[in-house]
Order: sequence, then C-alpha cells, then structure tokens
Amino acid sequence: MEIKKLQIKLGKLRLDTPVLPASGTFGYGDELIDTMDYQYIGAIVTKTLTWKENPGNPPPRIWEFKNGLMNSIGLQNIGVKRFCEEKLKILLNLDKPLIVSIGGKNPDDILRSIEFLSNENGIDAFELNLSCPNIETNKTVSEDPDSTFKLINKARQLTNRVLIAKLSPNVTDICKIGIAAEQAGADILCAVNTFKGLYYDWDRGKMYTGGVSGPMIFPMSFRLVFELYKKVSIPIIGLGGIDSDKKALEMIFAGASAIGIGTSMVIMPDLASRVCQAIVDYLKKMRKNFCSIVGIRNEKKH
Amino acid sequence: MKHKRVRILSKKIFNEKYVELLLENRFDTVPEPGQFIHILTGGAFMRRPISIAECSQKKVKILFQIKGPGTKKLSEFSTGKEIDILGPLGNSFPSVEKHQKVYLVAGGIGIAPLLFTADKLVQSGNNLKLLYGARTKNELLDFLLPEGRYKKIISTDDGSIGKKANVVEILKNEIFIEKPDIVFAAGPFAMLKNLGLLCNEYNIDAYVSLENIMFCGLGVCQGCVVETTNGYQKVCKDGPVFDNRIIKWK
Repeated sequence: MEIKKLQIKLGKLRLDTPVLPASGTFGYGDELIDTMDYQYIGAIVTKTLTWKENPGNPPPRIWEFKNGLMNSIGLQNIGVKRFCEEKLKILLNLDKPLIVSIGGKNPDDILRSIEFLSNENGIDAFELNLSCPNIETNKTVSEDPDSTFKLINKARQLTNRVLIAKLSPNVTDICKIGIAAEQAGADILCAVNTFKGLYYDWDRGKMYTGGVSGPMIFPMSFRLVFELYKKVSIPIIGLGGIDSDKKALEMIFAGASAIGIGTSMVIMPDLASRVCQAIVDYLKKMRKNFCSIVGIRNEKKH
Repeated sequence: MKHKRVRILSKKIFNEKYVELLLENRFDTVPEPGQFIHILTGGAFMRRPISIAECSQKKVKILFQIKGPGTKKLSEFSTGKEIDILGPLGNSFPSVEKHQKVYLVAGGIGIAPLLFTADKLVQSGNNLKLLYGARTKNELLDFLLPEGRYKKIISTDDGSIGKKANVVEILKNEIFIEKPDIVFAAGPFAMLKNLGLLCNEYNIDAYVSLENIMFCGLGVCQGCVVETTNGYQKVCKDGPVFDNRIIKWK
C-alpha cells in the first residue's frame, strides 16, 4: 500500500493518514508501539490531560454491552507537567504529528494547560475536551454555545497551535455548538465524544453512569457529522462507533475530512491498517483523490 | 507485535465447563508465569483475558472456565481454527531465591496461572506446596496436577473431595505448622481478600493474581484499575500480579 498517498492536511495540521486514534483509547501515545503499526495512524492523540494529576473515578469503570461499552474512567491522568517530563520526549521521537487532548475541572484549568504546553515544541494541535463543567452556567461547556465560544476564543488568544474542538453529542443542536466553536477560532471540529448512558448492575444492585461508545453509537454520530458538515466550513474529524473500513468511508462521505477510531481499534489493533487500505482501494477504483470524496454524499447548505 | 493469529492445536473440555486449549506459541517474548493472553472470541464485544497455564517452545496451554458468552464461544472453537490474540500481557509472579518455602494457593480456575508458576518454580529448585480448593468436586481439576513433583493439599467447601475446608482455612492451618517464606495466590476476589488479610496478619509476603473486567488489556484505557497504596493501578498492565501489601482490600 502506498501509505504516503494518504498524507492529508486539515488546515494547517498535517496528518500521516486520515485515520486517527480517539483520545482516551490510545493512552499517552507510546504504549501501543509493540501492538500496532503506527504508520497507519494519522497522528498520536493522547488521552485527555488535566492541569493537575487526576486519580480518576473509583472502579468499576467499564460495563460491556453486546455491541459497545460504557466507561467512567474520570480522566485519570498524570497531569500536564508530568506529561511534559515523562512522555513528551518519547512521543516526539515517534516522528508522528502530535495532538494533545486537554480537559479540566473548569475552563480556567484548560486555559492554564494550553498556555503551559504552548511553551513546548512538537505539539501540533490541542484537542479541547469540551465535556468540562462550567460552574457559572451549571452545565458542561459543550452543552452551551456561549461557554464554547468563550473558552475557545480565550484559548485562541493563548496559542497559535491548531485548535480542535471535541464536541459532545449530548446536546439538542450540535450545529449551534459547532458554529460557536468555528466563530471563536477553532481550526477543526472533532465529532463526537461518547453518549451519556446508564447501566444497572444486578449483582451490585446499583446504577452507574458513563459514556457509551462502540458500534452501537455509529448511526447517531454519523448523523451528527452529517448535520455539522452542512453548517460549518472548518474540517471535521468524524468519530463515534466506526468499526470497519466501510463505516469509515461512510463517515467520510458524510463530511468527515479525517476519521477517529477509538473503542474498536482497541479491540482490533489492525483496524487502522485495514481502513487505510480500503481508502486507497476506493480512491483507486473511483479515480479520485481523498479531498474530493469528503462530503461527497452530503450537501453543503451554507 | 503482540497482536497475533494463532492456531488451536487441541481442545479438551472437563466437567462441561472447564476448557483447555493448546495453541501455537508464536509469541515474540517468552511468557512468564502469571501473564495472560487477550482473546477476540466473537461471542462478546470485548476480548477475554485468559491465563497461560503452561508454555513450551512451540505450544502454549490456556485453561479457562465457561462463564458467559465470550468464554462460551471460545469453548466452541475447534482444533485448527485460528484465533486473534494479544499477548503475552501483564506482569508475572516474582522470581524467588532457591530453597525458599513457597506456598501456591489456588481457588477454582485460579489454578491456571499457578500450574505454570509451579512448573517454573520446581525447575528452579524451590520447595513447593500447592493448596488447591474449590466449592465442590466437579469444580476441582486435580487430575491436571503433575504426579509427585510437589506437595499438594486438595480441599472442597462441601468435602466432596479432599479436605472439607475453604482453601484459606487450609493455608491458616499450614501457617501454624510451618510458616511459608512466600505465598502466591490466584482465585476469586473474596478468597484473595481473605488470604491477603491473613498474610498481612501473619506478616507473610504474598503475591496475588487479580481478575477484573478488562477492555484493552494493554494499559491504555485504565478501565480495570484496583485501589492500592500507590493509587489506582491497572490490573492488565501493573498486574495482574500484585504485592498483597499494597492492595486496599474492600
């Protein structure tokens, strides 16, 4: 496979391929070197980092469904400072584009992290995990267009690195959030994060809340990317439930300029290579280039 | 790469719910006792972590209990089928100095990693005793134990075979007779907790192999954590074998 043919650019962000790991399913980025072939992924995408080291939620943290799972990890991570000390150098040696996901307990934490990390060389983009509480509105940032605008606008003033807004699907109208992110200066949208879910554990007699991912969410995330593409001009990384080369192509047809795979790539570490192969084969068969198939089955309305 | 496709060389089913699969050994590294493989079964969404019970240069033996749709599907595969695995994963039981008194304590299917451990320890000249318990006779795979290589005490909760006692009670009795230098254990959570608290009480070094619902098996998702004195640690990557003293038993 001519993997170099799959190099793309989303605005200023160069990617080795259009296939990205989803944040949270790829650790800090270096852990899977002896499990999968990194040449097939477009970039390293770290798990969400917070300003301070975060212990995460008490177990249990994973619940299985027939066609997906629910997690409640609670953003366990070593914090941005330890990340710089312990991980950054290793990641830079991998010679891949690097996307660092940033989250926090409040918007100020996210901004502090971005300011701190912008002093480090080698980070190509920040993915802002907008599923972060905002005390002022009593909602998560991702639920409210104004909070989204304010946070991204402030982040935009702090850094000239590429900013990716990771959108939550748990909203009435995702397009309002996407438009606010674009207007505030986001370079790329990443849609979507996990869906809110609830699980009843009969053995423990307890209810658990978490984020649902895996093939079962594909029809909904697919629809959200389809809607977003009509309303925004910036590129979209489409993800949520992609578990096959066909679903990856479908997401691209809906308007995704790159695709993310999380849950299913954990289960099938060779999925990125299969998706890359399918994209190469499809482009060859249709005699098209990658950019020309993005949104090919969707109509832009703006 | 840890991601492999390996052929099933043979299959045995014991007492309708225990399965032994012999697989091709195509690992890049030599598996250590306590490590596991993570198998895509097709019967459930996530992979299933299964302990390595024996390993030679060409073959790897795994032993598991049919518990749900994943292990059920895996038990239905026939000889010759290729299965998708990740491995070997996780850490291993620590090596011990020669002539130390090592007690291995297995509850139920917890025997799987300890068969491999016992094999290795005997080869390196340790003084072993295996305490192996289960609820009842048909949950005890005593016929898999090698003859005469190490001392064994068999027990069942209902007394249908061996001594009528819980395996942790057996360990307690043994401690009174002769205190072990170190204990290695694998089995259900409740058993390991009782064993862990007992070993703490008598100040005996113990290492326990924990089980948990596991998604990635590789240390990236942080889904399978257990609370320790060093914070939440991953059963798949920091374990499955833990120093008993660091576990916060709940």
